[in-house]
Amino acid sequence: MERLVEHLTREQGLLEQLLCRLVEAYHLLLADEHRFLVQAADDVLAAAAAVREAELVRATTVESLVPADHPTPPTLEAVARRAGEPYRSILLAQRAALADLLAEVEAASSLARELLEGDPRAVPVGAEP
Amino acid sequence: MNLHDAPLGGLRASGRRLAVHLANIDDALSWLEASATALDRLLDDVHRLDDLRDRVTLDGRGPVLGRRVQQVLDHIASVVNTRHGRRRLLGGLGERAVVRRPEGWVFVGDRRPVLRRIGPDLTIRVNLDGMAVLGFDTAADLLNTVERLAGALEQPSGDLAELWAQLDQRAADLVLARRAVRARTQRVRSARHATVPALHSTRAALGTAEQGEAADAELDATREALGRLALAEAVDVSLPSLRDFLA
Repeated sequence: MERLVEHLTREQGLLEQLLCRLVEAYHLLLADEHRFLVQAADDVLAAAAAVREAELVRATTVESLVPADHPTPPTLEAVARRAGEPYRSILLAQRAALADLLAEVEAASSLARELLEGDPRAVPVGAEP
Repeated sequence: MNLHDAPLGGLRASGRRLAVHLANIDDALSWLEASATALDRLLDDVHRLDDLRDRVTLDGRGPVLGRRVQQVLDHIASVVNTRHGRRRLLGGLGERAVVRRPEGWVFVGDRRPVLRRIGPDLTIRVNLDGMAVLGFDTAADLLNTVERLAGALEQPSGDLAELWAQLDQRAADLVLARRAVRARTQRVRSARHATVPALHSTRAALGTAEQGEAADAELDATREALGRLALAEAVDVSLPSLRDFLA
């Protein structure tokens, strides 16, 4: 269980990096800094690849925590409910933090895609015209 | 701002300045050449009067000589009122430089200088001050002197020496004016010799810079298109297994 907590902590850091790269790309697009778009794309791809690699490691760790005959991969909430304290509280807190981060990543991805497609709604209120 | 804009803008401004100077130089040369021609014709007229001075000595006076001088005077008046563009060579923006009134010939021209800037720190006057050149700022101007000479030659007697002396003075003034025009023409030609190659080299540099700018713009557009394509693929982040895990 402790390994899972460590993996999730690392995964949380990697998601923050991915979010950071997406926000950077979004601001480069807003600023018309076209020189750095390819570099920004490389950074986003590298950050996303690191997250996916961490997902594989985490999946392996989670599988080791449930019975071999478990029908589907368990959710983090299910793993937390089965764990004793203090891991239950820690895992539930990590679940909430990861869910918030994932929502932010998806929102940043959506904004950047809309900006690339020329959707003016992608420009947030207060941004430079 | 594109960093290439500054040097290219400077070259364009420099090219425009040089082109303006060159246009002014050519206009100044045109003025000075017209002025030189007018002064040459006036000096020719004065020399014709000198020839008549010898005829008086040899053949004496008479109405024929008087009419000859009058014809020279008509020619002088015509030259003095010559136009150059919208202005009079010796009369500026005035309707005419000189007119004949009951009391005699009068200068009615405009004495203001016509100036042309032919270099960063070089402005020259291209027109003539008709009043000074023709001696209207002295007691005996050219036209009234010649007219008095025509009248005197029709008389059988009378002292011509003073009139000839006044004519000599006007001829000397014309020679001085001719020299001044020649000196100014030389200065303008020197300015032209310096400006033409400078303009050519600036235009050549501008052409190279503009080609570079066009190539840069094309490269920027390609880079932007590639960047947007790469980013469109990269930002399409989907993490379904994490979403399922957090469900």
